Amino acid sequence: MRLVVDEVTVRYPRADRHILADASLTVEPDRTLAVLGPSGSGKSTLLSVLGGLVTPTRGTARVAVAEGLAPALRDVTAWVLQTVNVLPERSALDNVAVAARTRGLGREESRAVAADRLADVGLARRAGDAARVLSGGELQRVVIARALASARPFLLADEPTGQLDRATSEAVLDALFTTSVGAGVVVVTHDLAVAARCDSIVRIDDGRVVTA
Amino acid sequence: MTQRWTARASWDEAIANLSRGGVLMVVLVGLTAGIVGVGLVADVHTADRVVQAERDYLAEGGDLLVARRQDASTIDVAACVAARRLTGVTASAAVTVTPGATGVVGRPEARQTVVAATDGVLDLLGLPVPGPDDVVVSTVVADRWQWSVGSRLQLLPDDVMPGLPRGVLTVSSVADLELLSEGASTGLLVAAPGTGGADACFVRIGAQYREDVHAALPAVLGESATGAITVADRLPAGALAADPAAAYDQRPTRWVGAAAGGVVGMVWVVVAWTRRGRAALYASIGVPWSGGVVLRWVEGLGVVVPGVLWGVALAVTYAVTALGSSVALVLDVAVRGGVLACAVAAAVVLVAGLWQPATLAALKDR
Repeated sequence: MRLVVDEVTVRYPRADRHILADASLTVEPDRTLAVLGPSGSGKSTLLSVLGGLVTPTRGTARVAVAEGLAPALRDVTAWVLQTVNVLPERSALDNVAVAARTRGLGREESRAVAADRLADVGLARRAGDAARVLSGGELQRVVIARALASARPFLLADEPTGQLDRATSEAVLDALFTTSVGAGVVVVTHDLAVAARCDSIVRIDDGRVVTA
Repeated sequence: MTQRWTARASWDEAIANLSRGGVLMVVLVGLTAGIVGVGLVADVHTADRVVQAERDYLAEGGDLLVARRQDASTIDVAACVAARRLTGVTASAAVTVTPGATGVVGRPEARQTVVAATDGVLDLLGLPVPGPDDVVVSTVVADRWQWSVGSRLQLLPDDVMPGLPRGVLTVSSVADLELLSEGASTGLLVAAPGTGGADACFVRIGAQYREDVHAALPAVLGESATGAITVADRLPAGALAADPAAAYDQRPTRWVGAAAGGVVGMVWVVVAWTRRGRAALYASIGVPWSGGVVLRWVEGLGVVVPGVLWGVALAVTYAVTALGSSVALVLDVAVRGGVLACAVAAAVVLVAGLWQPATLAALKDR
């Protein structure tokens, strides 16, 4: 199973220019890919196309499978966003367990999976704490645990350490790369240090994939 | 790979969100209760006034018609009694008021007005049937002569109104006789025989039969070419036109329950808008649209339904204890209004729950 973006152009309504222009990309399973580029270059839009959140104006984005019916992009991707999105009044465990339930697991089974994923990212002891009392780094690790709990084959991370200090960023990246083994990971970043930890790098400039 | 999010998962999430919603959820339920409660109290208050107005209206004779001969001759008493059998007539009585009809033992110089009426007058006045030696006295006379139920009196009949009882009479009731005429308000009420003539024929009618009875009564009372009979409302012109049932059904606050439900629904829409990021969050995690809809429905109904129930309970409690409204009336108005409020609010919640914001934009708004 691969994610394939084929000559995709994205132009938002009423926008006077394209966001992506004839962008092509393939995301392989069990590989990490960094997408580099300046602000406004189209990195996040490319990620949204990969996740099925944005429909291309032209070109195709799809899941390629060796045989059988290809699933929808949304069904095979999990997100880690720059802005931490959690349910603040719910516990870390609840926030992760909800992703496990998208797999059809029952309530208790989902909580067990969530506990394991939180342990994977080093947050076992804070599982019962409400998300609103966790630090930024801890929240980002909760989000990573949530993405892992969904067991999607691809993980899309949009500047996952963009709002964290260096030390916290390292901890979050460690959690991301060590726990996502087996999944295809796409990390949008403008941080070369983050990109350096990936198997491959593509650069985007003015909506075009200029290096691969 | 297919979506395997279940309706049970949506239910669990919604209940967890409600139970951990803290102050926000409590405030929303309280606000809902307040909106519905205030609206229903206003409606109960209005309905109460309508019912009270109906009581006053009936007490003053609003449902009475009075038939008299135009030439001031008498109405046939037997025909008046028979008018009770007309459809729409609930009571009839032949009444004669004779001012200064008799003297009273122990009250020298005083002449007493006597109201002679057939048995039906007891239905008109809502009085129990008196015994053969009993008399009903008006409140005015009872005050003047210090009579009360059980007091004994004796009349001194003369030529003015022959046939009055001469023995000792016992006051069986004290009643406001003004219903029968202004002159009757200072009278003693005694039984009249079922034959002969009377000044007037009083009939009590159901409001919906007014026109029919009004038209039929002259013929029933023996109207002829030489003896026209006029039928008039006991109250001044137009007063009987008031229809209590219509006034109740068309009271201006009758839709306040629906309006309260609409306001509650709009409050929830605003809340849902401010929480659109949560809807997007669930979508980004992989909760399908249908699962998100069920989740939002349960959350919305979880606020609206308890809030409306609380509001109804508050309204009932306040109306019964503070306004002194009758329990039956309050329950009728509050339950109808509550059901209406709940239905409208739920409809808004259900429709609003269908909307799911654009995931990416909503997430960036968080």
